[in-house]
Amino acid sequence: MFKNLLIIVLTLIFITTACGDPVVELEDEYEPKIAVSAYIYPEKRVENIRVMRNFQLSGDIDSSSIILTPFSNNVNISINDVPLNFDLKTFSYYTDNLQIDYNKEYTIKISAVVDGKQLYTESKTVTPQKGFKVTAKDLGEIKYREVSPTINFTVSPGTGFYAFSINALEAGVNNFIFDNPYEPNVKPEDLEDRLNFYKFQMNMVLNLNLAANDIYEYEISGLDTWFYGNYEVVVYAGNKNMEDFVLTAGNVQEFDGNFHEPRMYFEGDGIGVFAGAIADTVKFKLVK
Amino acid sequence: MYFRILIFTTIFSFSLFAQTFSYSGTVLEKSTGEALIGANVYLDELNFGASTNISGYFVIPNIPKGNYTLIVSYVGFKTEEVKIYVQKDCQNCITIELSDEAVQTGEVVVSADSVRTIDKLFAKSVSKIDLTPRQLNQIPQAVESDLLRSLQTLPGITSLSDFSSALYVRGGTPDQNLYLVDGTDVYNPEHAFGIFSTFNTQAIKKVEMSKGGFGAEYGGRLSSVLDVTNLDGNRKEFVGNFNLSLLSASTTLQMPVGSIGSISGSFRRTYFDQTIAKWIDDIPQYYFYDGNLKGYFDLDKSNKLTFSVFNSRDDLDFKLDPDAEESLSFLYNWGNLTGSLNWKHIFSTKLFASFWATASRFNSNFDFDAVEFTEHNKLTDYAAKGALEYYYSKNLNIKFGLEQKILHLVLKQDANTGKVDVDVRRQHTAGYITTDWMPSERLTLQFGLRGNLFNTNDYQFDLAPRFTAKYRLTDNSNLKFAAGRYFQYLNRIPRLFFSSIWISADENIKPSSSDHFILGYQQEIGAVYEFEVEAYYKTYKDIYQYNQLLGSDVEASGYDENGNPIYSTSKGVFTRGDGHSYGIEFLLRKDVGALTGWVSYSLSKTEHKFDGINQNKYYTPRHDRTHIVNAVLNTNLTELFSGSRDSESNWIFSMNFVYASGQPITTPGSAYYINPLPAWDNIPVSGGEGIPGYKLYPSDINTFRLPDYMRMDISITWENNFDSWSISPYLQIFNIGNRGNVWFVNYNREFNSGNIEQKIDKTNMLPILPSIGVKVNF
Repeated sequence: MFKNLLIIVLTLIFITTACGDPVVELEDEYEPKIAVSAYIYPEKRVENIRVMRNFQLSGDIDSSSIILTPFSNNVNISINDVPLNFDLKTFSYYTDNLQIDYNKEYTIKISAVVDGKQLYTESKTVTPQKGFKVTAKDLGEIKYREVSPTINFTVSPGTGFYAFSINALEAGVNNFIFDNPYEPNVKPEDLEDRLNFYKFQMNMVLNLNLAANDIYEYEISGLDTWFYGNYEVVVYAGNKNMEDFVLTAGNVQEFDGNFHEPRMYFEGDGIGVFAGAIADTVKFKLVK
Repeated sequence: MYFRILIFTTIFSFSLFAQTFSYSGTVLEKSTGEALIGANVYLDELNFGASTNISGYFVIPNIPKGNYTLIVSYVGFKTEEVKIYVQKDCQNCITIELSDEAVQTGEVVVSADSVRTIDKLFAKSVSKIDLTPRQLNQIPQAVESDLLRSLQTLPGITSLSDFSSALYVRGGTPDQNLYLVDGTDVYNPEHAFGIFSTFNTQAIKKVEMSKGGFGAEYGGRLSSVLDVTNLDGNRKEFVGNFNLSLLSASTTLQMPVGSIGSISGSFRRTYFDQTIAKWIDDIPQYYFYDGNLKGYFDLDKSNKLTFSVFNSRDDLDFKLDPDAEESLSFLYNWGNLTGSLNWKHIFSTKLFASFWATASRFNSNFDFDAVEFTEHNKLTDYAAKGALEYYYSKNLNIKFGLEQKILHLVLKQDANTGKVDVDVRRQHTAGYITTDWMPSERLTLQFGLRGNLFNTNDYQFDLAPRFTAKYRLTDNSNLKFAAGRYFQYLNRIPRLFFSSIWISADENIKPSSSDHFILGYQQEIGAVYEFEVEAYYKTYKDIYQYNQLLGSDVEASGYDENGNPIYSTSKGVFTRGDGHSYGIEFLLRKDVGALTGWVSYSLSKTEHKFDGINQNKYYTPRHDRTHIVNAVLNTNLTELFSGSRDSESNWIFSMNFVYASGQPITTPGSAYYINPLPAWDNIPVSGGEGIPGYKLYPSDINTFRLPDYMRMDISITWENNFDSWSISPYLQIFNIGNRGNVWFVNYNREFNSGNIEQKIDKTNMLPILPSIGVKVNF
């Protein structure tokens, strides 16, 4: 009798205990940081340098407060001790007083006040060597699935990382390739919310090893073209800072949901990227 | 003077030995003819004896000439007494068959004649747990019984999630567990991306799990050994069973082969690709199967031969839109193939030998046509092993052996922009010696030493000492201690979706090592209850985990004609680290009677320190669970309520409860916006939704803990016995409380009038999962 009672009681206790829907209450481990997006290109003007802030995960983000400005955040920014100016139109920093050369080290220094706290960060980067260049900048019209768009370029010696921004310029529901062989069941109503997901594609080549003037052929995958129409492909020969940022910044969550640190080259209170790159552009038009 | 005494005593000792004899034999299960492992055999008049080994073989040395009563007992079996006359060495001269009548009737007799619980505990190795097939099959599980999931109910063994059958033993990671099936190493024993294990519980004869401090006969892994022995086959009659669950159908058949042996075979296959997938488009074309065949042959009194073959396969043919002529698709298949040949030979009454030739292969193939990516992953392990047991005297046994392994590891990946081409061969030679010395009736000491010679591009030689002491504190309590050093030369790269890859020690990866220190206390309570407490401390040196920054760190070993990289070494693949685990485990277990099961509690802590992670400071890994409570209960309701087992119809109730502290996780301390590429100028300066530029920045590693994990599973089986067959339909309910155990946390955001609303929600593990099935025995 005692055994019977024990089993019944135990079962009920365990069942009662092992139910419910626990709530995840995260402790706030927020520390203010300066988020930097800064690329410098040899023989190009220093511009579009963005200085931003990070945000607590609890609560909303006021998007107008993302950019750190000299006016509201007392931002001081320089590259190789040349001060940068703030452009009110683009909400970014620039200077016309600094010449960016190939294969040269540059140091960015930023100070700003975020949430009342004085922050400082600095980072170094070395620009790639001269040599990278796309050989044919306009590929003309390309018939979808009959010919693959192929980009030929000469490499920057010592640079193994090449990134491709593939942008469908006229992306819309009307020119989406619904009869594509990969996701043939996309519906127009679903597309409107996910237009940018298909419009902007990105790919990369890692650890490429070619000598100066050797030509590399990169074939754009069918998974990177979802619309008929004009495309702009920006090819970057990026240094190690850019490579590590592209590979790790957006890839901090592991398959079990846990997080790991990205690889960024900032000292002090900075996160983001300060990288040297050479960029070139290719155009083509994808037709039926 | 001392010298003379020494000579005298030595001569006297030898003269004493010269007047004694050894007596050996075999203990079998009466109904099946299967060998009984660990049966207690002793001489009543001399009050000493031996235990049977894995072949059911026993040797009692140092018996003076005379008449004796040989008593053979095994828990759950009827004790047998045999009168013997010893006048000379007698090699395997008796076969004793024990009847499992006690289990059949439910009347478990615990008398002075049968083996005492405390003796059984004393004979057991430190940190070792045995499970019978009956126990394995009674523990309620998700959909159907699973060996590895059943082991997760034991103290010191935990899982990462409901979706994983992988074992984390006392802080160790799954790659630190050695899986042996009939003496053969099995790599990646996983079905369905790790949700289920490849071991068919219907085909298992015995499972031994060593959670640490294991003897010198085992090596090559840091944390644990899971030694699975499959059914040899019924030597008396043709028997079989058939099991149908919502997941799979399986059968096990056993039959005698003349009078010399037996054969058994099992096969299991999932069937939803042939049923549900025919009607529901979203179910991918996926199935798995596994099967094994084992034969046992008594060549003569001194020679036994066993062969065992095991094969498992998972096959996935995925098509995003099954109805479309063309759609994103890939093919993926993986599986194990193992085989072993085992020859057991009795050289003399005192020398027993076992020789193995084994082969094990794991391979996987992936073909993703849309991006022109293929992968072929293969690991083959050929081994020859010899293990000898020498029964020198009643107080001293010596075990020694040699093992030679040839490993071949292949990983080929082919993509447009690079290749992986790893093809390495390694040799692992190991030798060991272990002495079991009983200096007094109360004390047993085991000294062991294992030598490993591993051929990387250089030779690596390691010595691994092992030590165990067992002491009978009182008539019903034991004290045990074990310590040892363990080495591991293979590391596993766990991957999302894809099966794990194994990589061997080389110029970039040092052999991993671990030291174990275990102190245990055992007590018999009320004749049938086992109470055990074990405290352990374990170190890890040069352990490796997958480098999360692999893409950034991996270095090419060469280049093809187009300048694309070819990766053929392990450089940059792993991150090196050290660590330690410590804890204490309490186990109260009852194996006999109408109500069986166990309750356990473990308190543990594991810390790792990996190069370049967490500023090189110690942190708690994801599998660390501070507190774990397990309760497993099996009972015959019919017997419980009516007082006796019904010979025709019984209701069996089982439950499994687990409570575990929440897993440590890293939280993103903050979010920020930044362009993935400079050309994607999406920063929402003036609001509005851009392309994904929202990024999370993690805080310190694993400092936050998820809510506590709790789960209760039950099963009810209706056992119906007929003359020559039985049928048992069952209902299992996994997570009957439908608790929302958190798997991981999601971070989402929505754009709303210039504001970005951030939302935190969670993804839960398995909800309540009822399933039904039926088992038929004939």
